[in-house]
Amino acid sequence: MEKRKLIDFVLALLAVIFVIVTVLAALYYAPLEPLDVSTVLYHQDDYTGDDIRVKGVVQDLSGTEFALEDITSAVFIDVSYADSGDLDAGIVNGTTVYVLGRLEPDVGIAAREVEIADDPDEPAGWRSPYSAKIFYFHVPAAWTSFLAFGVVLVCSAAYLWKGGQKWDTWALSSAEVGLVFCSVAVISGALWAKAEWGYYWDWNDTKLFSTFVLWLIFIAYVAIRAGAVRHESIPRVAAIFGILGFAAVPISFLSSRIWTSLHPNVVATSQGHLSAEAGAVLMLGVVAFTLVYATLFSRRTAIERSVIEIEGIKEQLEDAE
Amino acid sequence: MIGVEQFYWAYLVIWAGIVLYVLYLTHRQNRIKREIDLLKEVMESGGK
Amino acid sequence: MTLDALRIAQKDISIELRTRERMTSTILLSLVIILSFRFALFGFDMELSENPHLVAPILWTTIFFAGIMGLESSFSYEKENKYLDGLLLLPTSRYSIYLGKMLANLLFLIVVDLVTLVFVVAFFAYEPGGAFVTLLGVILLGTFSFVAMGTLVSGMTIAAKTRQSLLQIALIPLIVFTVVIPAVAATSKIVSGSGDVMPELNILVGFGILSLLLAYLLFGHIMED
Repeated sequence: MEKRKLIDFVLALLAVIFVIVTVLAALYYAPLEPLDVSTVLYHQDDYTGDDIRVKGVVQDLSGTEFALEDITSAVFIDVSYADSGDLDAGIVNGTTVYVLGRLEPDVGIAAREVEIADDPDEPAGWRSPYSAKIFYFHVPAAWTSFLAFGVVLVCSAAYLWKGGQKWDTWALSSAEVGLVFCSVAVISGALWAKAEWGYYWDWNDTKLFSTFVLWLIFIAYVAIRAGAVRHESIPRVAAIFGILGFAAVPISFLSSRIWTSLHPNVVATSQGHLSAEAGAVLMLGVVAFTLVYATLFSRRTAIERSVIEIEGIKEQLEDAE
Repeated sequence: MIGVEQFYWAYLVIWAGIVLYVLYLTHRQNRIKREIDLLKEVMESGGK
Repeated sequence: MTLDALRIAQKDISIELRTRERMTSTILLSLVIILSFRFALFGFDMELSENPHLVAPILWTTIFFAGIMGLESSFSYEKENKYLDGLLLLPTSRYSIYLGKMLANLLFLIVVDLVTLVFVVAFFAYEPGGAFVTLLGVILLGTFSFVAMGTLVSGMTIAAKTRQSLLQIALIPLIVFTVVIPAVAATSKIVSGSGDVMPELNILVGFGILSLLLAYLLFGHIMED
């Protein structure tokens, strides 16, 4: 008993220390990385016509049209500009500019505004560079939720195979804690998208949609267990549901790699080009969130054990009467 | 600069969410502890 | 096994034919949903006639809602009358119980589908025309896929003895990608008269068969004792 308390305390302490270090590192040390900027920009909504912003070099300037060589992906885009009279005098062939406008299927970009690039430190293509720091928490949260749902899978399978209350307790606790991390990942992702893409959510994006479905599945899992009187068949049914539901995890993880998606792929792909500093802070974040997960998981299982203890006492009382 | 507010918002939401969950867990733990103590008392008095 | 399943299906169907409880309430629900769409879309007739494929989501939303209600009552006759243990005591495999229930549900939902299609045609001025047979095929396969997973999950929620509303929350996320999206996509392709529906049909059939396999593996665990 005392040993368990000691382990809990050490875990909580480590989690707090790592969280503080990660927060400081993300704020003051980690660079403002341009992630996979080309995917961020180019799928941007032929259908909704939302704003896009591209940084590039002006070529073939003539009248109300010019070609723009995009700096981040070296692609040429046609830009049609509404009124050449408004074009800044400083913009000639070879000038580096930002183009703010709408992506039109036929024209390329219908520009609303052309600015001379004046901020060399701002990572190219980011509409709001500081929001990129959300990444150092968003990715660890998503990773931790995948880990938690993986634990649900393993414990559910073990429960069906071997039986034993502890597997069921672990699966339930892990699902609930995983749901918290999944919520954090979804909400922080939505806030980043608002800053970067201009809208909170895109239902046409497979990554976002499949993660949302994953979230729903584990809400259902927790709902199946919540408030129900403990009954033989509930843990078994929940275990089966946990196994079925885990199928959404690989779908969510792989979706932006298999299908086209606006969601940037940075980790574990050939597109990944994180700098060493960014990678280090990201790893720190993953460790910190995993420790937070372990702490919460341990607390949640303690509660579940107490609930089982209460039920035991109640049964004893009923037998005594 | 654009986006700084969003960054702080997201930051706040992430940690507020986790802290709220910890508070919720603590609350549940305390309630259950009380319930166990109560039940144990009942059991002892019932035994006499 | 197949024979047992057919007998269980026959039992459900004859109960239904005698009481007509489920059929009446489900078809009424389907009518209410379609009418809600009709009233809510009051004033959007221009948009509807310009985008005829909008009837696809309307049709399928109605089918899924009504279908979930139908599935909820699938095991309720046994449960309410405490016959569930009797059903489980039958000298047959659990999988035959699943298959029998599934067949009865499928038949029941196909009738509901057809009535819903009539409502859609009546209230949204939709004319299937030459694509009628393909449309029927898509509805049939979509319903099969939906029922195959739905019967499994409704067995789970009945076994868990929890509140009935759990079926929706447990079933919908499991079928979003595998049934809802392909069925609606295929239907809207047929309605707007463009595109090949084979990829969607493959997904529907594949997932239906996968659900049957999963039920084979899991239904015994769900309905233990």
